[in-house]
Order: sequence, then C-alpha cells, then structure tokens
Amino acid sequence: MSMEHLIRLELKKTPVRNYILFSVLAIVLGMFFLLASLTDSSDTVHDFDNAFRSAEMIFSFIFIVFFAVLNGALVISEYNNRTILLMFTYPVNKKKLIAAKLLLITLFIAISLGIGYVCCSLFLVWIDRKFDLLADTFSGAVLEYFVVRSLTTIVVFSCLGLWTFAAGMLRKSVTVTIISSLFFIFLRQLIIASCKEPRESPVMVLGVLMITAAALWYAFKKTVTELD
Amino acid sequence: MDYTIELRDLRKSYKGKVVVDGVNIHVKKGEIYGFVGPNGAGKSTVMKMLLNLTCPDSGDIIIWGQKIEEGSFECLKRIGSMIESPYFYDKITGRQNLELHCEYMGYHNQERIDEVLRLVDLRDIEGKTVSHYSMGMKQRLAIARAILTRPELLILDEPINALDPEGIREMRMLFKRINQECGTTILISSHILSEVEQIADTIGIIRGGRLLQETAMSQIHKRQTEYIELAVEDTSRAGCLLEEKLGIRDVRIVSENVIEIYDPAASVNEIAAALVQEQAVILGIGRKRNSLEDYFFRTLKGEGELA
Repeated sequence: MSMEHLIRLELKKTPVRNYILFSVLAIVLGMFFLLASLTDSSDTVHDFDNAFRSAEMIFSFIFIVFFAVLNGALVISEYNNRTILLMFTYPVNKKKLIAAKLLLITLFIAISLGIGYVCCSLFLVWIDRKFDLLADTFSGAVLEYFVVRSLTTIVVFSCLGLWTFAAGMLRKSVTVTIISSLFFIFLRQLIIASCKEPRESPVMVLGVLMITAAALWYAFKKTVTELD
Repeated sequence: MDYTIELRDLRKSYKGKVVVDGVNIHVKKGEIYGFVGPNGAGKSTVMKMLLNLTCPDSGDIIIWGQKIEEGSFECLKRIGSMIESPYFYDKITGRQNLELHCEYMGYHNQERIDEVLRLVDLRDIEGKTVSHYSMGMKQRLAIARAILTRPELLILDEPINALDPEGIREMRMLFKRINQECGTTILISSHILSEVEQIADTIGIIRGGRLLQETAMSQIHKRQTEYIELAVEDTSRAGCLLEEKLGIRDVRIVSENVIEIYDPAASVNEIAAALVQEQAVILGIGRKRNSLEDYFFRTLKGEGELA
C-alpha cells in the first residue's frame, strides 16, 4: 500500500476540519500578538528583522505545541486506546503505518507554518505601508531574508516536532509529548540566544537534522512495534 | 496432516516472567479450535503472536505452512481477528469503521458491509458513531469486522464476552455457519466453556503459559461418563447402604451431601428404593453427564482424564 493511500486513510479517521480551523485561529492569534508587540509603548525600534523574529517566535511556539498535540491525537492515542492492535493486524508494514501518520502531521504543520509566515509577512508589509510602523522599508533583500528564514524555521521546527514524537513514544504518553515540546522550544531559544546571529546556522540545521534522524531511528526501532 | 496453524515450542516472557512456556498447538484446516484457560493463562499472548502483534522469544509459528517472521504481514490478508476487546475509532460511525477496515485490508466490496451488518443484527444503527454503541453492539461490530473480508482463518479472543444469551446463541450459530459454509478455520478463546463445547472440534487447555491438553472434542465426548448424582443427608451411611444393598462400590463423595455413582449398572429407581427402604433421607437424585467444564477443571487439577 502506498504512502499516499495510507495518508488518505488517515485523513478519513481524523477530524481534519477541526485542525484546519485551529491552524487558522492560531495564525490570526499570532498576527494579533505581532500587532500588539509592534504597538507596545516601549522604546524598542521595530524593523522588519525583529518584527519577523517576533512572528517567528509566536508561530513556532504555537505550532510546535500543536505538532505535539497532533502526535498525541494521531499516534500515541492509537496505543493508549489500543486501536493500534487493529492497525497492526492489517497487511501493511507496521512502521510504514506510523510513518504515514508522522508524514501527515509534519506536512500539515509545515504547511500551516508556511502559510502563517506568508500571512505574517504580508501583514507586516501592509501595516508598514499603512501606518509606517517599522524603521526600515520592505525591499527585495528583506523578502529574500524572510524566505530563507521561514524555510529554515519550518525545517527546524518540523524536526523539533519529530523529537516530541520520539520522546512521547518512549512512554506512549501524550503528556510527555506535550511537555517535551515546551522543553525543546525552551532549549532552542536558549541555544539561539547564545549565538551571535539569533537564528540557526547551516551547521546547526544539519545538526538538528542528524539528531532527528537518530531520534526517529531509535523510535522506529525500539518503540513503534512494542505494544506492551 | 494439513494444519492451518502449527505452533512449535513457543515461548514468551515479559520482564522476566514467563507467560508462554513451550506451547505446541495444531489447528487443522477447516476446524474450530477452542482455546480455553483461566485468566492470565497466556491465551491472548499466543493469539497476539499468531497475528504478529508480539514476537516470541523462541519457537516457530507456522501458518498455512509458512513460518511467520517478525516483519511478515502478507498472510494477514487472509486472517480476520478480534483481540482483547472490540476496539474502534469511536468518533466515526460503525459503517465508516468497516469501510476503513476494507480499505486497509485491500478488500473492495461495499455490499459485503451490508451483508455482515445484517448478519450481526446491526443494520439499523450503522450510522451512529461508535461512541454511542453499547459494549454488546461493539462486540457484534467487531465480529462483523473480523468476518468482513471473508477470511480463511478467524482468530477470536473472547468474542462473546459482552453479549446477552440471545446474542451468544446467534454468534455461535454464525461461527458454525461460517465454518461449515466457507470452510473457515476458527481459533476461538472463551471463558464460556459450555459455548466452546457446542462449537469446537478440538480444544486446547492452557494454564500458566503451558498447554496442558490438546484433544478432539469427539475424544472428550467418548470419555465423558454418565453418572448418578445423589444428594443425601448422610453420605457415609448412604455409601454403606449402596454397597451393602446394591453392591455398588464405584462411588465418589464429592461434598458433604453429594455422592457421584459411576457404576454403569446402577439404576436411579433401584438406588432411590433401597435408600427409602432404609429410611435414608434423599435430598435429590438424577443422572448427569460430565461436561467440558468438568474435563477442564480436572485437567487443570492435573487429572487429565475423566473418572
């Protein structure tokens, strides 16, 4: 059975509409927070760079927790509700069944984050044109910066989301999954804050990818097929 | 011998505790195999190993002549199952659950869904979300799902647990019908021994992870002896009178007031007349036949054979 078919079957038993609604609300809420941070009464000078950094923080926080919630709802709950006993009696590779779920969650979150960043960027451009809130002006260089930064963040946070899967699977616990998401985002902020440039360098992205590969390898080797 | 399932010296431990200990099982093609044993005997673990839900520590699982390895899943296409409890996606309807099952199994026949829903008498509530089903309904739906793809082998773990007496009867008839009409081999575990007795061709008794007996029901029936159960006020005196008056010695005092008489020549009327004549108080008397339940308990006690 192809991965595409497995994902389509996953969608049939998932309340996708609710999740899309949540994503839309999260994006709107994120833009609201962004607006609030731009219009605060402090003396901070806002430019596109720090405005985008604020947006990045807000969205990444919301969506990594959402990633963990989806991990809990789509993967861990199958183990807790024992429906995994049914799934694993199907003539399909067990690891592929779980991989399809993970792929679905990762794509959903990556797309949501992408849409969030696009909306946020458009919002910043619009609000700057309308109210001249930002110190600099939107240019091709800023756009390029936005694109590169968005893609990096999407990759990094998708990886962190996958780390929450690996952590949650150790105990097959939704709570562990969600708490680990908070821990990972805190860790990421801590590391980023100690860097010269407040963003992931290509080496760091590579490191994150390697840790993700190792975490997934361990989760699939040790925890996915273990039922008791 | 044409076996559908053959287990050879199967062993499994969890955290150092042995739960399956050298089990050898032989399920013939087209038969109904009753798998019985007390709670925690290892029935579900054996069934899970058959479905490759858990791997044995050692031993071989052979289904249709093919050894099942850790990653084997092709043979699952031909197996219908119900393990532990009826688990469903309860936010979707019963019908949607069955449709999903068909998709995963690669079986495409919508009419069959209607057919199985009718067979388990769930035709009217198929549109309700499963969260609104009673336990009995879920059990019926799980049976419907197990038989949906016309499997050649059915593995059913306690399939009639939550059913009412009528439901149990209906499901018994259904299993028999599937077995007879489609030649489906059925491995069924149940606590309800009288039900297993009525449908099984062979039974396997397991306790503490060890298979104590694997016997054809016809053999058990042959060994089943008829006896007279006599309830009296004073069993010692009644025992003496039976020997003195009627020459009956093949008796067993089973409790304070009950004696079982195994002498094939003994007659209820003669015994009653003799005891009344001696003014022994009779509380009850009648012919009885050892059931699978008796055989089961005797096997568990280590007697193995009927008296």
